[in-house]
Amino acid sequence: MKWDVLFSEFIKTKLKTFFEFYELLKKVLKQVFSGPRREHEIKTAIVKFGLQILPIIVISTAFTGLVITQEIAWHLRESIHAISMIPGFTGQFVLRELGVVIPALLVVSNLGAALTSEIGTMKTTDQLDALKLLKIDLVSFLVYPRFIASIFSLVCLTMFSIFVTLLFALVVASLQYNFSWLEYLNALRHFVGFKDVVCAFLKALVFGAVIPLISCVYGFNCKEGAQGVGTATTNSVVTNTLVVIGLDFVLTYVSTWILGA
Amino acid sequence: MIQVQGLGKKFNNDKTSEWLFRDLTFEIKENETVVFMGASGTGKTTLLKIIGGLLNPDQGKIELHNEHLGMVFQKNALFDFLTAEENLLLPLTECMQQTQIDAKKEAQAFLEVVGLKDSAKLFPNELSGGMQKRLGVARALVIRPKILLYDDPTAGLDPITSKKIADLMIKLKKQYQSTVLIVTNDLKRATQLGDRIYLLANGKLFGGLEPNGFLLSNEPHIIQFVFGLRK
Ligand SMILES: Nc1ncnc2c1ncn2[C@@H]1O[C@H](COP(=O)(O)OP(=O)(O)OP(=O)(O)O)[C@@H](O)[C@H]1O
Ligand SMILES: [Mg+2]
Repeated sequence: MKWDVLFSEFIKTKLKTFFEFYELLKKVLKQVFSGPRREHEIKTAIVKFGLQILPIIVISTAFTGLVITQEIAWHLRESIHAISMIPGFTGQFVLRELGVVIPALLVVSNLGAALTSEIGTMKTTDQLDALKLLKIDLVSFLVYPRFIASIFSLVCLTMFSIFVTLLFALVVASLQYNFSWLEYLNALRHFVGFKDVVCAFLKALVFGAVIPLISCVYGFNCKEGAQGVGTATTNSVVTNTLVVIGLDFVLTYVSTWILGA
Repeated sequence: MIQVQGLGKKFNNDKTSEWLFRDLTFEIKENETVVFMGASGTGKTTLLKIIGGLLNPDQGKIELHNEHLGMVFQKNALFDFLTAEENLLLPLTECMQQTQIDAKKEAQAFLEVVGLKDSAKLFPNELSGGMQKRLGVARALVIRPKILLYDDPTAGLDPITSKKIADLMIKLKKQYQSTVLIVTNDLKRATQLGDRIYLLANGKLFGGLEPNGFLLSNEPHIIQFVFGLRK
């Protein structure tokens, strides 16, 4: 009785969010092809979001590289009593999943949360109204620069984080499991190819586009007051996280299907 | 001329979905200054925002002689990611399409007018309440609006700053010729600034008389408001 009301309410709000997301996407894409360029705002956003997050990404992906080698080595020893496949397994796993999803999730908690709370605060303090009154287009002024900056940053960060993860994986493999660097890289080349890089690139592109848009939708729908901003930010991060994980699954399927295994 | 006909608004809160105000009809002539007064929560801000096109009415319509609007917000609504100077530059470059150099000159001039020349590089949260108000006035005026909406421009200010802002409003009006709508609950400022004064109470408008007429009116709502009497 009460559950079905809650459930239909939940579905309704999610559908509404989705439609708003879709509308925003249309407007932003329109500007990509025909609107003002806003290079200054884009650069500012890249510096603010892209560069600031770099240290966190380096630390977390470095540790990922350390851990993943240990894990894979253990599993290989247990199952086939040989560790020669460490580079291959690591490479696949990093390029297809970890190297892509970890930076994306860090961007969610960084750029995503910041964007929602920024726009939400602007709404509750009437700054959005002030912009409207000055006939400044909110999508063009607030969303578009962050959209472009997010795509650019996440693609670069993903490539960078893949590099860092593999580098640290290589270090562990050479120190603890006596791989020579050349040997490791050769083995790696056997298992991962250009296709995997393209796949990682595509995923980063999609995540980079989706995260700022979802965050902005939640910001624009923010309720009045500090609590409203808090709730909107939480919801934005939760939705973004779920969407990243869900899309990762879908994109893995799609890219395997398009590019071949 | 601003023509408002049968204007009504209701918010669909959880608690109430009653009309905030209803059937408001009035006219404001070009270059006139009209003051709206009313107790807290009667919908003055809402009325201004509807006239400014920021909220949609649930009933009635509004015709403006000119769409070029400026507004001083009750919450100031200064762009907090920009410095005082940039707060003026943004409207000039984005809304008025001025070049960076022209805009810079204009912004400097306006900062001078509102006495914030030395604070050009400060961010809004580094300014005092009165300074923020003055910056808000400057930002609204910098685009030379034909209709100017002031939402409680002197609220919470000391008498001296309040007078400064009122003098500024009079000076700027003389200089730039615009239709001015002011929301205030300061009777002194209302009679000083307004050509006519309205009272918003119980979802209806009363008065619309010139200051003396308003003070001497025998409409019960106005008497009650002016003398702060209870029912
Ligand atoms: N966005 C909103 N959603 C729901 N209710 C609102 C909203 N904005 C205003 N209200 C309600 O409308 C009423 C009038 O609000 P408004 O801000 O217009 O009052 P006001 O006359 O400007 O008061 P004050 O003098 O205190 O500024 C209030 O009861 C408020 O709760
Ligand atoms: Mg108000």
